[in-house]
Amino acid sequence: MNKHIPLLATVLIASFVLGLGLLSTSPSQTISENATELSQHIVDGGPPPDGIPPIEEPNYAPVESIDMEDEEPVFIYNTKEGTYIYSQRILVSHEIVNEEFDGEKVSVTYCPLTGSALAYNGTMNSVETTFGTSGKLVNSNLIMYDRETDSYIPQILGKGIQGELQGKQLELNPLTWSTWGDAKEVYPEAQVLTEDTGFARNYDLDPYGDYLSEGTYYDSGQPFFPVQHQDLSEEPKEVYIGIWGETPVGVKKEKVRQEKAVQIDTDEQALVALYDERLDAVRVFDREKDGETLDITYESGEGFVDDQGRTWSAEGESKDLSLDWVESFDVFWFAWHAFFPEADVYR
Amino acid sequence: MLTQKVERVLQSKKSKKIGVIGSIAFFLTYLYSIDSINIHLTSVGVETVPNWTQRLLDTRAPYLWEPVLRLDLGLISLFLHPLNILLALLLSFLVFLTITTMAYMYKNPKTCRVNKTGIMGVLPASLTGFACCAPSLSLLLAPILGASSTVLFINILPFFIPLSTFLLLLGIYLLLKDIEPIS
Repeated sequence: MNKHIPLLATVLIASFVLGLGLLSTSPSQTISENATELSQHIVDGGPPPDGIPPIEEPNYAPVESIDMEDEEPVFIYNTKEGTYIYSQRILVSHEIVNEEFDGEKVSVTYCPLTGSALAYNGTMNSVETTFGTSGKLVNSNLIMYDRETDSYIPQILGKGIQGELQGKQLELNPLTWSTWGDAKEVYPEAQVLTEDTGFARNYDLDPYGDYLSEGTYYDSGQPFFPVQHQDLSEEPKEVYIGIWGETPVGVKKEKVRQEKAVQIDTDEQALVALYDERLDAVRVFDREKDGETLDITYESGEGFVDDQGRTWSAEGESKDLSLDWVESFDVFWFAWHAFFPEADVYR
Repeated sequence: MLTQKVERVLQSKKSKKIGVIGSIAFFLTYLYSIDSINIHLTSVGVETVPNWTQRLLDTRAPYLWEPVLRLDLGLISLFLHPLNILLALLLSFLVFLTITTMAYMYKNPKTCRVNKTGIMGVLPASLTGFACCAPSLSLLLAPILGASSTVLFINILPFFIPLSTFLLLLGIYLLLKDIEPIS
């Protein structure tokens, strides 16, 4: 036995050293959104590329054939062809659904770690593409990779940080975060993503937490992975509406829920966040219309009203006018602040 | 000489029984930890994923392959890949040998030399149990370890299975070394 100890010890130590060699370097302390610096904060999330496999051939079924708890989160995508509903319980295992609507490629994306759901147009630089999961994270957020160029694109940022598409911005489409109970009532004719995804997966299991219970990852605790910037003045998992706009702005969803209409004014833009009670959802619109800035408030019994007496729906529509949707989405506070530490905050 | 010692250990029916129970428990725990088993009310049926032959090498993580077969058995659903089963069986066999040998040594102290390697025998089996649950364990430990340690943990995950396999083999060797061969 004694003669074997040195050899065995060598093998053990070599294994440990090899493991150490794969450790990522400690993150820089520099504060910046610059793509190069952001790419230095990329960490390995565990799976290989597409180890969390996107759904490439989604199947749908009518609302009445789907059995889910009413409180389960779903993401609603409206197209000219109709409305499509994606459940969080399926997307937590796939994170991306690559689809085609109205002749255009669309990717519905969801990152469970940052509580963010965004729908991206799949045309970039005049090239149609689809997205995969890289297995990497930055600020705890899913990094997608573009299958045409292998460029890395953080889901919340929507902008390439590595590769040929570095600095290029994806186009965001409206995706509404709601619950199954609300969604099926508002959109009874919708098509719902089924578990016939082309994968043999256990969709009863959410490895991160549970939206139907309190005290799990989705409503408490700290991020699982390092983030560039932290602001502990707010609960990390508090839901904010992240607004790209001309300049990024974060609005606490609970504030909009309470006030129904929250006007957002910066040097570059005049916006309004409107609360849709039917879906417990928030949409953000540009208040600039035909050269004038509207003043839109909520009046009990009247709904959303502007300073010219017009009433507006929660979808930003009036009798013969419609407001322009501003790129925005639900997101955990810690993730929004990590990417946009200098953004204005409404809470 | 080692094979003779293994034969001697396997002659003990009681030790083998304990080893079988332990290895079956390990096998099921391993499959459960990699989400291959879901206990719930379901129908009865078998379904393969589309183009399953082309997807046999798709991985979800190091040493974890994407299931290509779903088996519904009324109260339980199984999500299977042949390589996941093979790895589970291999590890379970090593656990079987470890536990059987330890049980034999416990019951036959007179046939064994000083059992100072008992702890070394336990350690690799424990580590393998740790490794088998690692993908889910990393998320479970994240709140305790903190964000930076989670990254460290993720980076050493690929080595858990080979290291555990090596330590199990080492443990078995060290245990067998203390057993007198059949005279």
